[in-house]
Amino acid sequence: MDDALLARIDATVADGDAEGSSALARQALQAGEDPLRVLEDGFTAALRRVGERWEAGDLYLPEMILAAEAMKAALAVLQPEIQRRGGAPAAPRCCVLGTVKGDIHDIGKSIVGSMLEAAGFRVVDLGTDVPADRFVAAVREERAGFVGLSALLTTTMPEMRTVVDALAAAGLRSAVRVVIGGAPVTSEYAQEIGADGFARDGLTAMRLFQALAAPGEEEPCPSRP
Amino acid sequence: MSFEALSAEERARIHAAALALLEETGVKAPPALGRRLAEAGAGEMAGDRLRLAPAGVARALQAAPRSVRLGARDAAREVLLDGRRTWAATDGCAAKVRDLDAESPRPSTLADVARSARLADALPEFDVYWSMVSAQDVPRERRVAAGYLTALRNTAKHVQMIDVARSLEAEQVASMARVLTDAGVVEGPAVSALVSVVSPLRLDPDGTEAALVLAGAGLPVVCCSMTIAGVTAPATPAGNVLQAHAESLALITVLQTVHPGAPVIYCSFASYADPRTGATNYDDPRAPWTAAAVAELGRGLGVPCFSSGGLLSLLAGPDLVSGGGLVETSTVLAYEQMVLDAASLRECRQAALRPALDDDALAVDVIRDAAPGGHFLTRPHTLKHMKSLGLRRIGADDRGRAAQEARRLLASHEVPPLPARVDAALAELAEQPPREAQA
Repeated sequence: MDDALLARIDATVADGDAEGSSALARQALQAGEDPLRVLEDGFTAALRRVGERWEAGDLYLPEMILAAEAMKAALAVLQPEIQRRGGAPAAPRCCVLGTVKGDIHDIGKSIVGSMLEAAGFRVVDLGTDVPADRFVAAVREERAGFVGLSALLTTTMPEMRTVVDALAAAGLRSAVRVVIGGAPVTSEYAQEIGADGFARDGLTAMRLFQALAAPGEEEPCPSRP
Repeated sequence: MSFEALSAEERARIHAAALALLEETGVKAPPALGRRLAEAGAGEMAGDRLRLAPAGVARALQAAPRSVRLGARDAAREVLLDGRRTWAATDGCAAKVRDLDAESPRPSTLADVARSARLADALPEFDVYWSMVSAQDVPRERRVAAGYLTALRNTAKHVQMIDVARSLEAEQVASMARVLTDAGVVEGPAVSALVSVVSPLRLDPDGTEAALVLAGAGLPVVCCSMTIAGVTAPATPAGNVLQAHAESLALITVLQTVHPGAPVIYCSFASYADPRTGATNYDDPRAPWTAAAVAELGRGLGVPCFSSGGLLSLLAGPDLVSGGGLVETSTVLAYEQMVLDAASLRECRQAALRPALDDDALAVDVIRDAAPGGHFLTRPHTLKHMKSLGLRRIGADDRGRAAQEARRLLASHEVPPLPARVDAALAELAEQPPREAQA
């Protein structure tokens, strides 16, 4: 892949240009580039650089989220071709995210989802008001190694324990790392219900998931066929 | 003094835009509720959207009472929201507490509900006790009722619940309030509750059902919007205020259509996102204008209105302002912060007063007597006017003295107990899990 293409990918992701990313991905395939390399050396690396700038305090949150959206647009073009060729992106860590049953607040969870995508996770967002059995089914179906639970209300926090217990009852608890978040949640509460961690905002959530996924901690998760 | 955040023309423009938004975009609503509103002629249901007709909103505003009474165990501390003065509530509802001698927060308990209610009772600046913390040591199904009972036992002021999230809890709280009024312990509504629309433009099914139960029982409901500009609302102050206005109007319309004449309070705590993290930033420089604009929009509707605190908000004259006592973006209760915020509220109230401009205030003779040179410290005029303002015992940043004061009040302040028979009846109701849990 030539430097000019990499520079264009870098600029397109940094601009949060989803249409441009999608078009560039198609151009790269037409030019005979290896889709896995385009994804990893091009788009994933570009998004990582955006994430570094955001973490350094140089970017606004919408810029970060738009960059993640641009990356997702490219992924939608590249992924089928990668799979057709029998390849898979390296270490596609999969996280099932959702706001627990009884709670329809979704923005905090969605921000965490974008952050995780920017950090290279594959995110399966179940949405809001998600009952425990849907988390269990998604973890099993997606072979996810990570679960993120969100609750904004003190009244819905107890559902987090229900999900953790349901994962244990399904024999999946040891295979997943569970992180909880939301305004009323505390690290003590995470300990109390047997979660692996607590994050107060999108940035800490991303760092925590990254730490949990660090070498030695990682639970590999293949992309969905 | 007066301050105008919005001209009459600007208020009309925002209101018209909100009506158009509610009619064209609508709010996401539970289908059964939407159909009920449509059958009552308030609008139409299209998919999962309830599109509210301007006439439906206008009828709702016409049906809503002009004033709302918030009953209290101490009748002298009853609150009447009638546009004549601005009352103040504490903040809520946190899940963490930072103790007076601690660095880090811990999960909140029922004992914190008791302590915060007693401290709020002792601080005259607060007129209404919000449920400041949730009692996380109480099982979920009994938590709201236990919190209400504990608040009642520890304050003779009005209790406003902000964590009633389900209709079963609303029924339980309404039953308890009825015990108080039937026994004559409280005249007027013995509890009110804040219910929030989920921004942008979504009615929370459970919360709205709870609001309907309370409204049906004649208990006041604060119809609240909590937008975060840039995340759940437009990034501009005008767009933020407009969306918040539309959301509060939507909930008022739902309640008034189902229960015409039920006491409702227009409310918004429109806030702003930190541009890097997306977290709520209550210190955003646009927040004071926003609170004032909300108050003016509410006043313009003719129903009682509730806004955030601060000088500009007080100048705009809402019926009720919040908050006091919470830190870390309203997620942690700190007892000394209750004392600091009470002091800040007192100073804001003083700052909002227009100083006198009569001869005594102009003090020409006093200046003639003392100057050129000299000083004013020993003039009777000086001491008289200094005393009229009072001594500033605790400044806004005097955390150490505030902690001492909180400690003193918590150790010494006593609240008259509920009559034993009433207390027992309330305890019996509070200990019964709501029907769903029993099933």
